[in-house]
Amino acid sequence: MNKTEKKSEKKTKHENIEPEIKHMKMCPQCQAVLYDGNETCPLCHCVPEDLSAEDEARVTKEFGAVAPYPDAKKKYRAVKIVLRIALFVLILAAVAMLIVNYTVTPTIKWSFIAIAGEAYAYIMLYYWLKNDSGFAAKVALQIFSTAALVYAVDMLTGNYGWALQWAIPGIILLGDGFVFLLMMMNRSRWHSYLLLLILMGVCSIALAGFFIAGHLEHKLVAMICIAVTGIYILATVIFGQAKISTELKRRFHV
Amino acid sequence: MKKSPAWEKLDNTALLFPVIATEGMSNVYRLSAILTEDVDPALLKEAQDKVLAQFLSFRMRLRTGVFWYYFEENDKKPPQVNEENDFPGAYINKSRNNQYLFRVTYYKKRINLEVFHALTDGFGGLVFLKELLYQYLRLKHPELAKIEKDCLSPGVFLDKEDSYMKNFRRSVSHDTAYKSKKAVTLKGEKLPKGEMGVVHGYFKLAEVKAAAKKYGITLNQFLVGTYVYAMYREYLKGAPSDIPINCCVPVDLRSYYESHTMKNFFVMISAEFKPEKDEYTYEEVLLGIAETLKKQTNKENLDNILSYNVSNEANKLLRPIPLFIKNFAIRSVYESTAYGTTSTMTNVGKIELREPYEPYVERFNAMLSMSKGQNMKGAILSYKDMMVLTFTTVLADISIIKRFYSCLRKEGVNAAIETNGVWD
Repeated sequence: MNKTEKKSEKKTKHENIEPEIKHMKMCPQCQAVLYDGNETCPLCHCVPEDLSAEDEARVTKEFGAVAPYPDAKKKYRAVKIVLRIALFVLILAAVAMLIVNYTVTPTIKWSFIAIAGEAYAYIMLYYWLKNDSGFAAKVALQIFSTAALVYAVDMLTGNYGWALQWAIPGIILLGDGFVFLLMMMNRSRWHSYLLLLILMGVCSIALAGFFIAGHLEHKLVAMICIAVTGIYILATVIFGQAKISTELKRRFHV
Repeated sequence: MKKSPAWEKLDNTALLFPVIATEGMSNVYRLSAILTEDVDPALLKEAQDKVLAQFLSFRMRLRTGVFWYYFEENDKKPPQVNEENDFPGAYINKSRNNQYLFRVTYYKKRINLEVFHALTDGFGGLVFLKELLYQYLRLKHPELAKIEKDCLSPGVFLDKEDSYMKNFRRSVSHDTAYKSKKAVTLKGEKLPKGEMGVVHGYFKLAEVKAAAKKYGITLNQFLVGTYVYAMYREYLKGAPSDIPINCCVPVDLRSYYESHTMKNFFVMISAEFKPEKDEYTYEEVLLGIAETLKKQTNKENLDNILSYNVSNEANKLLRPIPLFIKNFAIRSVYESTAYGTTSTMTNVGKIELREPYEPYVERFNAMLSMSKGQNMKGAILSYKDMMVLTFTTVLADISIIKRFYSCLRKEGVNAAIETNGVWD
């Protein structure tokens, strides 16, 4: 079967499931003409009587012909099913991890961290699928929440400082790279990602604060992060000039 | 060098919609035209693209600023025109649909225009729909193109002024501002989540006018009064109530302020009825509602409502508060006042098409999506000598609508009814 035949067969199937146009009826209880021509009146559920051909022609002349609606009930399932499957799998995995943790290594509560990671993954999946914020806003929240999560994990597991020294600068660098990628991929609207870049700048300033206050034992990654973000912002401001000022004016209008 | 996309601030009403819109409360309204023949999707798409190119107010995408949302000209391809496959007034995702805030769909003979309310109100939507219809019909029927110019109709305003701000002046009295006291909420078993029921009622305009005239009230007052009576009889069972039935009625401000803006420009007045004794008659409710609507529909009262609505936006101390805090405050205020309204009934008005196009369009209808605390709404319009009243609801029990039609029938108004089949 060639492509056209397949298409035509698909179309025929589609046409078969379209609601058939029924003849109008009259509800003896409501005394109203029923365009839908259904088995019962939608208002009082009384069995209607057929409308004569002349009366149907008269009503059509007065108010126009029947204009049916499609069956729209199936559309809401796809996203819901994905989220429910994810929730089901994550709950099963959480229970399994708790059992293994308590039977094999009861002294180390690693399963709580794993379950927190699962919860984070589900919330992010829900947010990406259900929220209609722009791509940049989603990336910003993802970066911010990931940084918060790794910081929380570090604090809960002995506060060794790896989050601030390695993980968070790494996330900011990843964010810089992502902003660059987005700007390259969407060159005509590169300025749309300016706010995301500013957020990276703010995170780098916070990191610089920790750096100056002497909270960072290993400074290399943090220094690279601050330098890269700083150079990136400087280059954007110098080469972007008019577009940058327009974008800033719009984004910060009071 | 490529021109920088235009941008503009949201009007006062539009500020609310991005904050409160959800899949369940989309704040999307639908205007439909039913033609005499099946719609040609390719020509409809072509017509949409041509008309959209001339309506900057529809060629906008919503963007998030640090202090306010704003509109920016959308230079992406015009949205697809698809066959209708969803319930009316379904949520418009700001990131999909090429970031356009409206959609055009079709089904057999019907063309639907669905608009996110932040973009414009019913007036603006209707202007766009009419131009879309004219353009489509010119493409579909070349004989029309011979007698009609292939451009926007003369007299169409493309004005995008913020008429709220333009006509705002600080008022001393804020007595008429929206009240936060609770009103009756229509509760009951609901349709499955995501579904919305539609009941169109078709009447002869002359019959409705005659019925309203019998009571010495306007057509709008008659229909709103009948709706309130139907809620009183079916929901309160004719018993006294500590809280009122409050039906909001949008008032188009353009005629009061000589505005032709394509942005939102309306305020809400309320038809309030608080039954303090048993068994009010139909006439008592009708005349009571007519009186309360009449009292509110005057320039002084509308000035006060407009002033109250705009006062916070115009406040220089509130303006520099970051958007996420404003959103939180707006959502809190909205949620605390949402249960002060039982329902909404809007009248889009009389639709008139230019004479050469009239034979191709059988009728129009309008419908509203649900809001917090409002599980049923009504939208009225008239075309030629016909009136169409469309109820939209998420309730499984529609005895209020049944009572509404029963009241009209007793007043000599005969109806034809069409639904979207959710109660089958």
